[in-house]
Amino acid sequence: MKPQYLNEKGMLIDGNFWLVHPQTGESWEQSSVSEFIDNYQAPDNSPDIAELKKAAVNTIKQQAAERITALDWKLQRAEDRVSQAELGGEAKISALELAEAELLEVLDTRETIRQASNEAEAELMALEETQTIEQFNWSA
Amino acid sequence: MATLNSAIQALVNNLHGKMTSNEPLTAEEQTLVASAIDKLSTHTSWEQAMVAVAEEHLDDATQTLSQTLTTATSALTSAQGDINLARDDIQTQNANLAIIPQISTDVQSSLDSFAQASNTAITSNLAGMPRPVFGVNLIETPATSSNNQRSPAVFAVYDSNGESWVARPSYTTSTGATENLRLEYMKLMADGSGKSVTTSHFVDSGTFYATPTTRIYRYGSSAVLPLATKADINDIEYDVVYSSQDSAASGVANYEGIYCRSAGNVTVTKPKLNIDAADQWDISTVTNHNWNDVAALYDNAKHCLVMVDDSSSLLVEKYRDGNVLTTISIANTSALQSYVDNGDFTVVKFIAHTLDWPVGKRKYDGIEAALSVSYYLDCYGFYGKLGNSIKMGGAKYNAHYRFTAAKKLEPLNYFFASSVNQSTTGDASSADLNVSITDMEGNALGIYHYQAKADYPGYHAGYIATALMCMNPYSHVGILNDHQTYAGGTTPYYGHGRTCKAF
Repeated sequence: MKPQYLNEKGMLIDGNFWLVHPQTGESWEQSSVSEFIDNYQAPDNSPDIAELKKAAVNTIKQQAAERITALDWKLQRAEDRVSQAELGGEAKISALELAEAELLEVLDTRETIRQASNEAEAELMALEETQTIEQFNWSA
Repeated sequence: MATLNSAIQALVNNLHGKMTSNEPLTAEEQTLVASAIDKLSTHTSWEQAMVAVAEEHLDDATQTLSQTLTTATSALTSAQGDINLARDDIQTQNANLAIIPQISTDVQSSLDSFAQASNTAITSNLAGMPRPVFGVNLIETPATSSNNQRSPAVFAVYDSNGESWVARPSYTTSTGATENLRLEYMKLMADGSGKSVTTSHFVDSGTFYATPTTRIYRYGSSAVLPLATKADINDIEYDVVYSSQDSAASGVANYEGIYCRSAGNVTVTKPKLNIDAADQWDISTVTNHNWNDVAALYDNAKHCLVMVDDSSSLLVEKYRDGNVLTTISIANTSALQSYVDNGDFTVVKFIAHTLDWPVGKRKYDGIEAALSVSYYLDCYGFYGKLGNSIKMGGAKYNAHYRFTAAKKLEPLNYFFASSVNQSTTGDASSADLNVSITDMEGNALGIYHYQAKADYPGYHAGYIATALMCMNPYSHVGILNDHQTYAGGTTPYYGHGRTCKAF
């Protein structure tokens, strides 16, 4: 919003009054009033793209870690079943095959999350629009 | 008479019937007949005889009426007695009824006293309860540049009308023109809507300015005070008061003195060296001519600064439109103290033009240090006077005053205690600040609470100990400033200063 000059109250800039010029400290005169209003540029409050990307990458890493950690109980179960089958000898051969297949499946899922996370980070770093960065989503 | 005749005829018929039928007469009838014969024998006419008979009946009636009258009179007399008793009762009650207006007054008075006591209790309780603080309107410019750092140091006068007059020292000095160099004097609106900057300079690290406008020399201090004019001690407006060097040098030999901005540098007065006096709160003036340690007398009756002129030893009254050189000569400290003791004075402690961080104590080691540590360490402290310890203004402390409805400038005590939990990777820090502002008798005028949490994992929640820079205890409007935060990444943001309001 453009500044507005009000007699006695001074220059209204972003909701605050200045009885003196913010840069010169001098009292306002007609010429300085019009010059200030004409040349006023609102502070650049636009987000820093690089910082936005850093924040978004950090978020992706955190989400990946959360998704991997969420599979901990499945991993533990699969590992226990493999150990159990191994200790059972030949009688447990078929059970061992099943348990190993289950363990492999969990490990594959966790790796898929890691790969997707890496791809998401690369995809995000290629973005240049503030809005698309802020709305970026990924899945694995 | 017709009725009487009918009655007599009926009597005669009855007598005749009984005599012809040989039915014996009753004793009463025999008496009547005897009486009638007697009357007839003594009266000459029938009518006279009949009247005589009737008169006996009238006598009976008269007697009956007389008895009735007696009974009625007795009843009336009795009723009169009852009425008199009732009247006496009413008269007795009338005295009671007369008390009703007094009872009404007493009840109203009791209700008023109760309401007043309730209000006092509520006000007292509210003053003793922390008020949550809400940010309202930015008075700085948020940015990632360190040039937008603003100091949390403050000299504040809280006017009883709710407005606050504030001097904000710069964060640093240089020859540039950035926000971190700004020395700003402002009025905070009573409703918290914003600020009105009356004077602003960039603090220059090398050049002296006799009349500061765009820039001001770094070695100096100032205050903003309610000052009258020479002609009218009730014409009070706030003005900046500078304590200045005479050139670009910081030594006491180059100390120039004190002047009001409106009156200009030509009115500067150098206080007589080391002639000091203590005010009613035992806070002493400081006239050692050090640029960063200045304290002057404020006259609460005349609303001006008072000091002993270094060259003439005469008392000078400094108004916003100039000086009044009195004829009062002050030869020494005891003379000045005597003058002060006979008046109503408050010592005003000026604040340095540049003060990046006011100091406070770190909880873990009790050492007083710059409060730039408060984003990760718990801190506490006060600004004001407690016991013999005075922590006001200069190049280390904030200073808080109030200008009462009675037009008296009084120092205030500002207590603070901050606490943070350390930020760790993946976790966000949080921070709490409690502030209490009291008068010099220790009465709490307001207690305030502000809580902040980090906006980014692994980073702090701001510099919490100094976040509530100032707070007017009349309007509960002040300045909130976290100084530095991390909003969305590893680069800090500055320029968070905003008006705030507590409820």
